[in-house]
Amino acid sequence: MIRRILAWIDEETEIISMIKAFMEEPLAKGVGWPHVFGSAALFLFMMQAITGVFLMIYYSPSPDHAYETVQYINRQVLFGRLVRGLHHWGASAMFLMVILHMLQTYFWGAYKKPRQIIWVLGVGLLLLTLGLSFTGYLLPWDQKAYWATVVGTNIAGTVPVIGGVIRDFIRGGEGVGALTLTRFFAVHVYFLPVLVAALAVFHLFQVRRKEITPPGKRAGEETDVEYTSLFYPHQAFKDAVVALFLLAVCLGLAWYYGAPTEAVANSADTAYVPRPEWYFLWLFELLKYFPGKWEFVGGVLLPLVGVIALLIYPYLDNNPERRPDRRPFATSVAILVLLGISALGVMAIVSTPKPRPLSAEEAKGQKVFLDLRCNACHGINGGGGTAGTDLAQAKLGERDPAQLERLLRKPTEFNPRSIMPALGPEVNGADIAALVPYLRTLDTNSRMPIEALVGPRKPASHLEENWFINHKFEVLKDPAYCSTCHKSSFCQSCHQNRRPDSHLHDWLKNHAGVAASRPEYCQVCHPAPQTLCVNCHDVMLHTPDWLTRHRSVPAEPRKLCSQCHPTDFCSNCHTGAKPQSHRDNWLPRHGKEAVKEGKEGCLLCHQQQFCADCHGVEMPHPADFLEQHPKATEASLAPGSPCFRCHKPAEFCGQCHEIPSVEKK
Amino acid sequence: MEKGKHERHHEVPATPEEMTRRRFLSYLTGLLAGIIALIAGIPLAGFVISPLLQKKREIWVKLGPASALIPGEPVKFIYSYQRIDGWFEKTVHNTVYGVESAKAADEIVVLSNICTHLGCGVRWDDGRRAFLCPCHNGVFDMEGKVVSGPPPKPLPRLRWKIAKGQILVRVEEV
Repeated sequence: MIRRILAWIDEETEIISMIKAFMEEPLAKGVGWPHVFGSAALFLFMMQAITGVFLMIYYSPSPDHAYETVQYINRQVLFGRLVRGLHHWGASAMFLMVILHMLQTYFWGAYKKPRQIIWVLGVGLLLLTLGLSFTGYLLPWDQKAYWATVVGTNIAGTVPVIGGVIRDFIRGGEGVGALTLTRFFAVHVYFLPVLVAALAVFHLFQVRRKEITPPGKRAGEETDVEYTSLFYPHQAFKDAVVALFLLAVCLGLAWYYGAPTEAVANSADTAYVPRPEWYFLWLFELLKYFPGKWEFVGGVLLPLVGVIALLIYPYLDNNPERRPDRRPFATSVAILVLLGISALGVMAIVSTPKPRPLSAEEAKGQKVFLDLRCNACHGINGGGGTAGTDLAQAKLGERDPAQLERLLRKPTEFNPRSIMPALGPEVNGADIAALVPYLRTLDTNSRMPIEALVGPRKPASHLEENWFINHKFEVLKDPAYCSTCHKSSFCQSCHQNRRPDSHLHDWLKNHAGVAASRPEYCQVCHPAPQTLCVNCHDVMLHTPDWLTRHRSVPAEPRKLCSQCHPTDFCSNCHTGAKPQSHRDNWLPRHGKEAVKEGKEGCLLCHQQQFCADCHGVEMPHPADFLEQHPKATEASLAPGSPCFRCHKPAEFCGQCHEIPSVEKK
Repeated sequence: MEKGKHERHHEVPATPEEMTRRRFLSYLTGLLAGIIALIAGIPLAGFVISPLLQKKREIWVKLGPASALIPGEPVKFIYSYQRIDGWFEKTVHNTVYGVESAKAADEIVVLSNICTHLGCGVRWDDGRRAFLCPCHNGVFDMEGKVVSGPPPKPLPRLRWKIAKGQILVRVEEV
């Protein structure tokens, strides 16, 4: 069935016969395993194209999201780490195959007449491969991405006169930023791959036209060539074996190492040591020997001369010999260049400072450091938060471990105004015992470990340099905005030791006004401001009826008045010795008022004894007075007794008693 | 050149043993290509369908006070919740209608406003006393049942509960 469909397609289009004719290329004797590298490079290019397209399904080329989407691919997407790893290792493998392919072509003398143009197209493909690599490693937007691009584009900037324009053109502006990322993305995923594909097709077409070089034959003398095999299946089988091997190697590397990801791009990190990908290392090392204004010689001129030499070399080399041993000069030059580049590469690797590896305990401390989110406030050489001291500058290695531990447990002991949250009992001793040695390792060579992404990402505003200073103003502008992510208790993680600055001077005096006009300000930190007020005020809350209530405040809470009010505050209203109520014929009225309002009002100013000073008895009469009054009054029934100041004896006593009995007495 | 190549093509020896060898190598090459496609294809396939395999999360979302319900009258609620959308987190806003029965106060239905036809947002038309879909003239009654138009099913009902005077609805989040 399938055969019949294929036969029909071929009858209609002849495409299958054409492919067959193309694939069944006769190959000269001696073509074999050394000739697999071109196919291997093509296979890896296809693998890069496919994995690249798949990565684009989840990737977003913007500085806000690029790093995050790459992390998402690494952590959340099924096989994401593997697919990204394949793309990463495939890039290196592809470059390696391209170089091996070139070396094989060189040592076999295959670039010689009549195949010079195939070599030239190949050099074009090499440059495109390097371009793909350079544009590709900006895309994850991690430290390596950022710095490699800064350095790489600055090299272009060293060209005299027009360097700055070239650099800005590549970057899409003055700095490496959003515009750099989007243009690198477009170039990496579209322009360069399309060019590679087109050039590779042309390259292959030329190879098919001019045949693979018969090994060992002198240029121009390819007459009695013996053909012993076909491209398909003989050579294709070898290519497939190599392709499977390369895929297995890349998969293995991807499985074990994934694709290395560094911390998110951060131009403030001073301890980061930017190093390019391994195949650019030799160029990187070379630049160390070209100081100052000669920089562009090493960075631009030498590579440019090298490329031009590669392009015109097949036309300059007139020696018809192909076997390497019969053209010793060409062979030794190539070996020397290779050795030179390798030596530069090795020197670059050796000269890269290596951070001291952390011991098991220190590594655990590093994890504790991240788990406790110390990095939210403290930076290490610029990586991390800016609110606290940069720990790399703090010379913690010189501190006594026990002192450090006490500092962690109780920061206010060292600085009463410290806002660092104390590590409570929830952080166990073992964690602290690991954290302290880790902190003591921090110096100017230390780097912030890659942050574990926990919880939602911070909004862009929080990453601004002055956020820590600004946050109080932002809170005031829109407290509700903060509470979309933070619980109100969040403020307390720092502010337990530190009130907002507004609370510092004369706050207690002014707080009532703020609380009344901007209750949301209180709510930012105080979850239930009403209960907070009651905690102090209880009966003292200055509600609208306060003026009439204030005199009835009991003695204990009344002490609080002096927190806001000066001692002479009462006399502002209570002019002279008496309150205003005591004016206008007060004495006859005072009894009724006292009964009506309750005695507490009187007690604000007057002592308990005050009534008795005049009345001779407790006033107003207590509840059990009626039973006790015979005893109390017996001695004082005489005319002029205090009772008769209010009560008329005949009328009042007569309400209950018979009057003669009184008269008898 | 072209002519010469064809001549040389015939020079490649093609004995019966050689033809068998070629066929064997073709099959072997095909097998290797198949293995390559398989071990590269499985991760890539998983990579693409990965979002379908994410676990769904069900959460209760606060709708509003139960006292906002009016018996015999649909009340529109807009609720929002934090949703993890791939690699970022955002606030999602959705509309539902809470309908309290005119007869019994406990009989509440919470209707999604998503038309069961093709997913446009229906809205309550007070004049016609029905939910109208703005796209293809689907009409639902107050209980969400289809009155006329193309929708195949009544409006979806959300699970709800009332706690501390607030209506909560069950929202399925991917």
